[in-house]
Amino acid sequence: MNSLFSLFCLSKDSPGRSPINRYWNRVKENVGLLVMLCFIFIVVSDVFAKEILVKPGTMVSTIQEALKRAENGDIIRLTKSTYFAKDLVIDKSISLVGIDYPVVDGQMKSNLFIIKASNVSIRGLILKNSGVSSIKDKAGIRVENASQIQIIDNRLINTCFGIYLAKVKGGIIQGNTIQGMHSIVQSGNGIHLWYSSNILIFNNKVQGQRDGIYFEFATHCKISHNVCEKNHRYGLHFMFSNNDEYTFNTFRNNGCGVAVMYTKHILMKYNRFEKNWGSSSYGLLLKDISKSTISNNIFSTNSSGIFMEGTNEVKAEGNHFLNNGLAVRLLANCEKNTFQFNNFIGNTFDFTTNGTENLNYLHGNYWDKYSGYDLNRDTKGDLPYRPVSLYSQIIERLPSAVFLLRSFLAELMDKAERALPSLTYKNLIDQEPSMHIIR
Amino acid sequence: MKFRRCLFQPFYISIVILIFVSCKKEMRPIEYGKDNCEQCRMTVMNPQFGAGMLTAKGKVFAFDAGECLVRYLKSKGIKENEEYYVSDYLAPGTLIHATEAVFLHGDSIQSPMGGNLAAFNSRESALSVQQDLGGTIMDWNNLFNK
Repeated sequence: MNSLFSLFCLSKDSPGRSPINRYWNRVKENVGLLVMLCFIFIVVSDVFAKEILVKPGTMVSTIQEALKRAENGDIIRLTKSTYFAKDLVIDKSISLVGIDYPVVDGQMKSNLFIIKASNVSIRGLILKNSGVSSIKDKAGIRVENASQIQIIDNRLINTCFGIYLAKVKGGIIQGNTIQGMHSIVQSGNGIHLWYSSNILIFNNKVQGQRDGIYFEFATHCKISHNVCEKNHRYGLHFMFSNNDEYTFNTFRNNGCGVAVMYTKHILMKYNRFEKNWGSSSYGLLLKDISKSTISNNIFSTNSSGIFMEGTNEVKAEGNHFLNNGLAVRLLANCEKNTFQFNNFIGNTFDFTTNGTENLNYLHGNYWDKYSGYDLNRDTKGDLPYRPVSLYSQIIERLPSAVFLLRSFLAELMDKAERALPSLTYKNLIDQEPSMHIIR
Repeated sequence: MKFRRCLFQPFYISIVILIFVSCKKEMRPIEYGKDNCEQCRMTVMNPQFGAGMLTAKGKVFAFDAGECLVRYLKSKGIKENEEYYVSDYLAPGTLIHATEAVFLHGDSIQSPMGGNLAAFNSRESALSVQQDLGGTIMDWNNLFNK
């Protein structure tokens, strides 16, 4: 701007005398032209990204008609009404935006939307009633072979699968509410990712589906601030999906909280696993996973807090296990896992395991059942703590012995074993239990 | 007389029946949403893919997919007098003998444990689905030796 100003000054002082001035003049004209071109370009591009208003009773009364008229970069706005959609293919890079939540009804027939183009965004719609099929998965929004997808602030009601991404690279799924209505057998997953990567799943709410969020071969994704409740199977389910992270989520009242299976490099932080009750229900089920971190989570009132099978090199740190039936169940085929600085409060059993060998490491946890002392006042207990009680070992061999839970006999056995440890595992010991609750 | 009357009381009869019934070695249907897979610990949910086995002692194990059954048998080994079952893809929830079933293996079949495997009771029905979804047809022996 400064140079432009000096340019004008020069031309006013001496118009076209020296060759330099003539040169400046030419520059001035060109600058003018450039500005003009920019302006034209802005105007044209504004015209280029046109808006299409869909309103019943006008020329464009259906989404199908609007899609026919639309070109890449356009915005289609839906006024508040009810529209019908059946396998509606979006193969242009458009934005579909609802005004005051219009309803798109699938009439229980098939998918509602199938997105096959990149840079598509769908916002502010209510999507209802997808079909149910046993051969092909029917979804509210199905995305295939695309990238940079935005699915924001929608409400999906009674869809078999909610949002289904197949081979999608990059995208945001944010602020959606998914409410499944189907029976256990017919329901699909709320948010389903298959062979996808770099997806952010943020602030969604999923209820009544088979799995709240399901990952199969999905990598480098982030899941945060979601709430998964009352899903039939799992709140969140990983299968063969590496390098993902989930933080600040709540998993409540699901068949089972979260299942992480056949994966590695998963970061699990600041989540809540609550009220996952049932005979074989877990807050967190780990099966064949390795090199992952579980930190600062809260496991409260679950049948089992964490169930680990075939799990290696997992670090659990700073978690709170509160009022679970069984805080951690660690099967003997797990190796090199670390539990440190966790709180175990009010659990019926803190640790159970099977087999005799156990190659895992416990350190500096707080155990409310610990009854040792701290004479040198270094906040670490002077006696080691054995979290696997004798009684839980008996239940392992003889499940019906659970009948004696909280009985005098069981208490007596545990007290005797604690006083003179001889039967419980030698290597599953916390050598330096914390005397205080870890904050 | 008194004893005989006592013996024929419905209560006793039902107990006797119960003893005989419970002694039977028989495959029970899989309880979807309740049973857990013996191999992968997942809750068995999808009646198109559920599988099961009946051990020689009459114990029933449920599996959430045919591939889990195969993996389990590969690790534990096949024994005498065991029966293996898979679900018919076209009649969800019906169990058929795995050894007699026809399997379709293809990428567009998304079975729960990533095995891409569906089972059928006849070659014709497998062929009809193959036209729709693609994939290769195999039998139990192919599958087990793969």
